[in-house]
Amino acid sequence: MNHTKQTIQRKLTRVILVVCTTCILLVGVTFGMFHTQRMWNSMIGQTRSLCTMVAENTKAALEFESPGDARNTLNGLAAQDEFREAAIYDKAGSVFASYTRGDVKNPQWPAMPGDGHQLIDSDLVMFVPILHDDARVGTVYVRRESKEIREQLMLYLVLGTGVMSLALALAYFLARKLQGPITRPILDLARTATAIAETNDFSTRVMKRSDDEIGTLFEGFNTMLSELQKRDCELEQYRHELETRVEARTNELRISEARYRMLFESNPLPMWVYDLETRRFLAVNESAVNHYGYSRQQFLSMTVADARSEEDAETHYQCNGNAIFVETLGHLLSFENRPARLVSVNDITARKKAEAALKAANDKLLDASRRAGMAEVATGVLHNVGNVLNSVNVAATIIAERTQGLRVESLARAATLISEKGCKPEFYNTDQGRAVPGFLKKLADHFGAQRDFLNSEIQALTRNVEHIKQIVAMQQSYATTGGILGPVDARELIADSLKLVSASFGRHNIEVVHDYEQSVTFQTDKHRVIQILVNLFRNAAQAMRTVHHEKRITISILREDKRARICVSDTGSGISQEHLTRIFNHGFTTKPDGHGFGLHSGALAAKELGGSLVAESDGQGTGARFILELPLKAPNT
Amino acid sequence: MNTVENPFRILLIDDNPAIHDDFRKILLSDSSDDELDNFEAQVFGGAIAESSGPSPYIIESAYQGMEGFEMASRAKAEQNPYSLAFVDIRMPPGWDGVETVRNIWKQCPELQIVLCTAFSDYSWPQMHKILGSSDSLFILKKPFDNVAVLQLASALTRKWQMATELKNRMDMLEDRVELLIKELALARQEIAALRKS
Repeated sequence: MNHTKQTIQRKLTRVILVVCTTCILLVGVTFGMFHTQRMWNSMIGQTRSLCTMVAENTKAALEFESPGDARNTLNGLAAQDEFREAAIYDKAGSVFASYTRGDVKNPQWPAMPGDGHQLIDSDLVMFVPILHDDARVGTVYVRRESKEIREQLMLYLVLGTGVMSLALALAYFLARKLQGPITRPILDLARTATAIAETNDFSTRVMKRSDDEIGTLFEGFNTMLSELQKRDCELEQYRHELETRVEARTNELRISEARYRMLFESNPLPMWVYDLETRRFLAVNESAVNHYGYSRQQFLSMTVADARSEEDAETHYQCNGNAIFVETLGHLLSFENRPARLVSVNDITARKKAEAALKAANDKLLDASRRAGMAEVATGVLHNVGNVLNSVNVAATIIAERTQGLRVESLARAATLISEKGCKPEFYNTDQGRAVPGFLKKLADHFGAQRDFLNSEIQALTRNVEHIKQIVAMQQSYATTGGILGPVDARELIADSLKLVSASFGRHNIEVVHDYEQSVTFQTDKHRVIQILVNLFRNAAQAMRTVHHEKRITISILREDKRARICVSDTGSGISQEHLTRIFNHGFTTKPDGHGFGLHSGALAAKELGGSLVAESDGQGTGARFILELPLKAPNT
Repeated sequence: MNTVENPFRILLIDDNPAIHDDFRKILLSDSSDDELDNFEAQVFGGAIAESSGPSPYIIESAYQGMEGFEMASRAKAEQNPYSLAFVDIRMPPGWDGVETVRNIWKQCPELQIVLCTAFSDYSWPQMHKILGSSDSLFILKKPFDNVAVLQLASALTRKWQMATELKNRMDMLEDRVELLIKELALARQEIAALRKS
């Protein structure tokens, strides 16, 4: 039984009952034991005196060895039926005479007599010696049942139980009656507490009935209740306040929502809200309806995808199929408890058009500047022309000097001399005459030598002039607008392009390897391809400027399907991975004096010619490969 | 000293071999023909023209700025210095002309320099800033005039020669003065000794 669940009344009753029971049991057992001991002692005393009497009476019978007398004496024991059996032992210890109660079938007297008394099977067994003149002549043996004592004890037990039951019933009754003043207030308190817990009515109070500890408890309880009641009041007040405030805020929200709705509805920019999951339009404003040409109902039955281009999220379609460029501004929100996005749309079609026009103008300008200027190339050309011009100048001056130095006067003088005196044979006998043939011979040698010298100078001069012409022609072809498509031999293209850069290649010990056996003829704009190639060669040369191992440019020509491929690879510094695509960006350069449109314009030109220009490199220090791919047949532009 | 035994050494520093040829043509060209002159004198009489002799210049070539600097330094160390150098300004990929001259002058401050330029990479103030003001620097614009080259070579080698001689003379004089001072001191000692005795 769970003690914690019992009422205080039952607990008190139990305590009282347990105490009573313990007291009564203690008293009963003490008295019972004391009485039993006394009865036992009196039984032993009685038996001993009986035995002593029998011993006196049988002494003579033993003396005269008359067992019949002894048996008679023993039979006197039958007056008390408690004696179960008795016997007289002689001096030798064998049974002299015996007595057995009528109902006992098998007497069990011991083989040898003992001394004193002992308890065997709740029977008292006693031996008393028979003395004659202080000499032991025999022994009396009796066995007595303790029936009387048992009956006595049983009586006590029945009596004790009855008395105890009565006492407990009385104690229970009294306890119930007397514990009232203690338990009632506590029960009252408990009931009140339960009632407060159930009704939350803190105005209830308990009645104080005494000034003892329970009274103090009641006082504390009441104080606590007042405190609780006060708190409850305050809480109630707060709650009320909060409710008022919430209501006020809700009102404000409603007003601001209305304002926002007005902002949304009357916003000059098209705006809408669409469901993030279904992508359906959930709301659109007036401006969107006007701008896109769909009715509000149409809008609300569409998804966002219906209004905009698949490829480009910034291109939207109006109802009539017109494409417009837009800039959108999105904001995630919860609309009618659905995750949604509020989008405001800015039509930038006009701006886009202006930008495109600006870009076209810019490109044109860039193109013009590239063609007109080509600053880097022009500088190189100027240097080359300057050097060649120097040689031309030197050679021309020397030719002029030598021509001045020709001994024409000497020849004239000799001719005059011979025409005057040569007809006379004696003239050749004079010193003067003898010297004439040698002089003429020397003069002839002189003229021959001078002619040879002048010839070689003039040849050099012609070569130099030719060189200048080439440089200028290349520069012109470089600067031409182009646009004329014609059949071009790749080998010739490469040769022409190399001519433009040959001077600097020679100076920097750059080896050019032509890794092709057959050329490819294809239709393209020759000048633009030369532009691209010259750019590639110059880049390669610059990339190898700081390289210490061999400087080599390998050019290969390949024909693949309907395309011609020209591959220019170098052993230069290479291109790092992150620069591989950026090198084609306009304005991107790794050269300190670069302007960053060489490769950019090259890639553009290749694209315009229907081909492509790509770069490959395994990274810094491993050289680079540029692959120019052009169609065999130029696209119609 | 403008003789065959002791010709002036001229250093050409230019990355373009054609320019070297040009300089050689101008400075070493000899159109005179002594034998023909002799014959002409025999036939027509008159004085035999004085021989102009072989060229008074030895020309050596360097194709990069650094190479030129090394050659000039070596020549100076071997006590057979160059008297004049023609230096191109644009010589990719190494040092340019101005940088080369700046380095050479650290080693050989007395070397006369002619900077050749096809077009102006440097303005005069820039060059002045790098090289300092010097009376040993001249600018020659390409394409150049043969006579200008000849005149520059002749005048600057003479200038170098005179500067060198002047320096030698000064050194010699200083040595003499020192010697005399020593002799004077000795004489004084002797006089003092004589006086004592």
